[in-house]
Amino acid sequence: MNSNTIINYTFRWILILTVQVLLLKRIDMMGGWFYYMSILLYPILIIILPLRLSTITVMAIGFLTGLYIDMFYDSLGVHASACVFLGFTRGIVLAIISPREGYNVSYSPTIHQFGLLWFVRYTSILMGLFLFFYFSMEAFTFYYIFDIIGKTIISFIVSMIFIIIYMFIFNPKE
Amino acid sequence: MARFFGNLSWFGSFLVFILLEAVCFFLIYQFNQRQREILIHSSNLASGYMYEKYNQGRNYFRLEGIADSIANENAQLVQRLSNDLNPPLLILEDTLSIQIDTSAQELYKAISAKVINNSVNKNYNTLTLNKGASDGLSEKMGLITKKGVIGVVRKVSDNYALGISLINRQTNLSAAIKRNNYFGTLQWDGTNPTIMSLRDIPKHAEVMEGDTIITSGHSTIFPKGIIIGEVIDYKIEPGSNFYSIKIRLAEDLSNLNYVYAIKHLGREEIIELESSVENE
Repeated sequence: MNSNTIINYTFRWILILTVQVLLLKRIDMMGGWFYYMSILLYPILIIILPLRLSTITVMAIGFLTGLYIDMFYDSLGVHASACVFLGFTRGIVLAIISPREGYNVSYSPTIHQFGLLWFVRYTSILMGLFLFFYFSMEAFTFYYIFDIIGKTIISFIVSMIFIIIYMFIFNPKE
Repeated sequence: MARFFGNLSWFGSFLVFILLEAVCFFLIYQFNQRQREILIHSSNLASGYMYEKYNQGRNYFRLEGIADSIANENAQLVQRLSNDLNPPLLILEDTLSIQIDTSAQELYKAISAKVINNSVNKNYNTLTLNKGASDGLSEKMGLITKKGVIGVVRKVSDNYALGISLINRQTNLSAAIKRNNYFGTLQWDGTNPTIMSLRDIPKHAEVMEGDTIITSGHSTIFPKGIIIGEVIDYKIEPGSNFYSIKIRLAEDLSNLNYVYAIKHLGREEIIELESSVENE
C-alpha cells in the first residue's frame, strides 16, 4: 500500500460519505413517492474493500462507518447494524461466487479487476441483503413487511444505478 | 471460504457478528424513540395475542353451556309463540276461542332437549333425549325442531326420555293438507328415511305436488299447523277411494341436535273427558 493508494482511499471515503450525508440523505426527507426511495451509495465503500481483509476487520470497519452515517441520519445503531450485517454477508457471498481458480488476494472486488458482469452480480446480492436488513431494522418489526419489501426493491434499483455510475466515473482499482 | 474469515474460524467471525449486532441493538433501543416504542408495542401485541387465544380456547370449552342456555331461551320463545294469538311458528287458528276463554292461561309448554342417540336405519327408529321427567318431560309430548315435526315422546325416565321417531313403523299421526285442511294418517313404509306416506285423504280432495303438510291438531300431542313436509308424489290406487301420497319430510331426521318437546297443558283434562264418555 503506497502513498498513492492511501490518498485514493482517503479521497474516496470522504467523497462518498459527504455525498451520502449531505446530498443523498435529502432524498429521504422528501415525501410522496420518495417515501419508498432511499439512495444508499456508501455501502460500496465496504463492498469494494480489498479481498485480503478478514471478515472481522470488514465488520469492524462497517460498524464504525455505520455509526458515522447514523450520526447524520439520527438513527444511532440502524446503519451500523446493517453495515455489520453487510460485512458478514460479504465473506459468505465472496466464498459462494468465487472463481474456480480462487481469488488473487491483492485484488479488490471491482469492475476493473473482475469485469462488469461479475461485479454487478456480486454487488446486487450484497445490496439486496443489505437494504432488506436495513429497512427491517428501520421498521424494527415485520408487521410492515410489505413496506419493507417495497422500500427494498425501489431503493435497490436506485442505489444500484448510483453505484454503477460511481464505478464508471472513478473506476477504482483497489 | 476460510480466507475471508481470517485466522479465526467461521464460528469466531459469527460470534463477532453477533456481538456487534447486539451492540447495535442496544444503541437502537437506547437512542431511537420509535424503535423502542415498537419494541414495547410489539411485546404488548404478543401478550395481547396470547390472551386472545387463551380466551378463545376457554370460550370453546364453554360453548356447550352457552348452547344449552340459548336452547333454553329458544324454548321459552317457542312457548310464548305457541300461546300467542297469531303465532308465526305454531298456527293455532281454531284455538282462538280457547284463547279468549282462557285469556291468560298458557296452552302449550315447550322444553328444549338435546338428542343424544338417534337411529334412522331400522324399522322402529327411536331417539333418546338428555332430559326426562325431572325436567318436565312426559309421555306423548310432541317433538319438533325449528323446521318441523320429528317424533313423539314414548317413555321417560328421571333424566332421559325415549322418543319414537317419525320414521317408525308404529307412527300413526294425524296430518292435514295446509291448503284445504283435508286430513289423513301419516305412516312410514320402512324404506327411505326422508319419505313418508299420507293415507286416508279422500278421493274428492284436491292434492297438488308441493302442498305443505301440517299437523292437523286433532290430537293432544301436537298443536295445529306445525310443518311436517311437502307432497312430492300422489296417486289413487285402482279401486281405492283414498289417495296414496308421498311426502318429503321438512326436517332431516338423520341429523338432529337440539329439539323442543311440546306439551299440551290441557291434555289430561281432555283425555279424562273423552274416556268418561267412553265408559258410559
